[in-house]
Amino acid sequence: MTSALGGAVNFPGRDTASRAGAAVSRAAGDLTASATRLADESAGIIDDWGRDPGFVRTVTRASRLRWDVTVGGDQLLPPRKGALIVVNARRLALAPVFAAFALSEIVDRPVRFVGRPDTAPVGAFMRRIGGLLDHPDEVAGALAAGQLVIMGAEHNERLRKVGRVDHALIGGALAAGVQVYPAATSSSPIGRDARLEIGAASRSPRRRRGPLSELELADQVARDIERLLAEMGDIRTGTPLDWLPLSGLGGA
Amino acid sequence: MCHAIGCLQHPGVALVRGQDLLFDQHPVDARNERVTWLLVAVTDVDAFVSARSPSAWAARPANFHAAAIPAPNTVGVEAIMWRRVVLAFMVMGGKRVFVSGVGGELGTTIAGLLEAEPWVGELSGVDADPPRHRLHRTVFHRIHPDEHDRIVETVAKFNPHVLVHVGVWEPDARAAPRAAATLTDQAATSILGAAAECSALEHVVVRSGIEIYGRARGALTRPSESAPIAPTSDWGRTVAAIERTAAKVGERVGVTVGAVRLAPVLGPHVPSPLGRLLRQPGVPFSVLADPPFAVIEDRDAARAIVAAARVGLAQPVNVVAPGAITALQAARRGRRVPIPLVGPDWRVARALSFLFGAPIPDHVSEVLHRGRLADNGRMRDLLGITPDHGTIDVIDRLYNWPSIVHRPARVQVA
Repeated sequence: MTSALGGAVNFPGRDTASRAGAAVSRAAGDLTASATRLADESAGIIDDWGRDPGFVRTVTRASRLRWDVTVGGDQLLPPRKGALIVVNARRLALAPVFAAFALSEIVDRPVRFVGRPDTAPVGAFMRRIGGLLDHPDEVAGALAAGQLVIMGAEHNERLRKVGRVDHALIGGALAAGVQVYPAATSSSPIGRDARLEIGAASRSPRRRRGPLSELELADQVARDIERLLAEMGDIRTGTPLDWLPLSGLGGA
Repeated sequence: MCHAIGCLQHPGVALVRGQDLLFDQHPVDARNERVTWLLVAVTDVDAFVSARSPSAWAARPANFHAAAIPAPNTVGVEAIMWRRVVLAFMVMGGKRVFVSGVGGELGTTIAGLLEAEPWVGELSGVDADPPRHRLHRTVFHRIHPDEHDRIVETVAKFNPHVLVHVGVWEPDARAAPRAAATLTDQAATSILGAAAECSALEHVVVRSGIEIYGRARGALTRPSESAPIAPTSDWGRTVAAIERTAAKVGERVGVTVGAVRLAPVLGPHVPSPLGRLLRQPGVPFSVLADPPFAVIEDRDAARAIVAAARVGLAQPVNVVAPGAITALQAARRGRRVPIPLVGPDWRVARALSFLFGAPIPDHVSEVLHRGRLADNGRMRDLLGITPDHGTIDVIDRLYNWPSIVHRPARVQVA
């Protein structure tokens, strides 16, 4: 997502009332949808965003062959409201995807992830498993309707560092009036063990009236994820590989 | 002033702007003018109104704010009223409503619902075809869209307060795409233009569609009303042009314009290219994408348009049934044979479908390749209603085609 600032910025002072009103009403209106439990979802039908619950169940089962994810901090998430969860992501690690599958099972709610392409057949496949377009309005719409959405930060070469968090998507969360949660993920390219640790909701250090709010909140989320990564520590293999900084194991 | 005092002598109700229109036992709606009720000297407005006038209470607008103020003396009433300290209840009494496209399934249903609305006075409509159902109060004018003079004369003579413009032709629904575009353009120009000349006009509601958002690559999966208008089909461009024309009329004459952006309207009797395609014995679907789409039942669409007229909708609203479905799933639910297609197969499928009587216009093709969803989150706020049927229900009802009901004659003549 490389949107220009002007295109992504929301000016809270200008139309906060209308946006907030719309968001609240949408959230209230779709309360039942947001409270949908996985068990209540029927196979053979798809939801309002094109997610296919039956297909998701199948793919989730298949994904366990690849990842064995331990989830922590899920109790911090709102039980019914929407929330944006930002995870650190490495190239080809599919962190938002396995995080969405694992979290969905834990919280017993559909969890969507940001970053599907809009071309068939990959885009269609990812939409079926809960993918959303990498667009602030798309994310804001899902969040306002009470959905849990996971987005990934950009890749960073340094394992303990988090890449840029797209402030435009954070702006979508602000527009929808939902909280943004940092989450650290770790996975191994050769092992099944993976971990998702969700932290307390990030808060912008200062109250801003303008677009700085989303920029500062995006930076704060990145810092919070780095803190979570530091608390998690690296995955240990018990071999001298652990001493190599670029071993490709653990961390972000 | 006198009426206000007189009304105050009647328990609890004062009249603000209407001249001859009084509440409850008073004569109502002598001039078909709008009245604004100001409730005074009542501690529990909700209970008061609901008890005194159940019909008015049932028809209260979505943005109704019940309020009560202390009983004023007769001197203070006028000052309080004209300062608009309390705007309690707005009742549109005896509005003249004009429905264009009243001959279609949607237009006829709308007219039928409007006839039952307490705020509607006179009701008139125009279309090239006669109404599908029996209408009791609606005066129908059968005029072809290219007869501009007759349309203008009819609309100007009626001088409506509210114009409901549903005189649009979806491509390959009742007319071929080119003819549909021409008819729609003619009707929109004539009727909206004529309405602009009417001195009583206060509000315009136009039927639009979620095709207006387009489905270009990267387009939002569920666009809300604030999403950019970027139609990518002929039908989308047509409804965008209607909205544009209506907005211009609204700006020029200073009336509010509401656009009801409907999802594809389906129903057992609705002429819809998508409905026809889904009802075929074999339903084609894109094997690579099979994207989701949402629809709206015809009666829900009609209710939404009537609600838009009632509440004076002044912005666009998406009217979409909750849920979504894909072509493959629809075919399975209808026990049709799903036909997987890729790339050039579609050209053959379109030709065959055309021969079987279910042509696939570009906006339906877009549904099958790119899907069509929209955010209906603001529907309840803006219109005060929600759809009775979800997308799955609508599809199921589409396949449960009602059989012919035989009614014996009341009097056997032979």
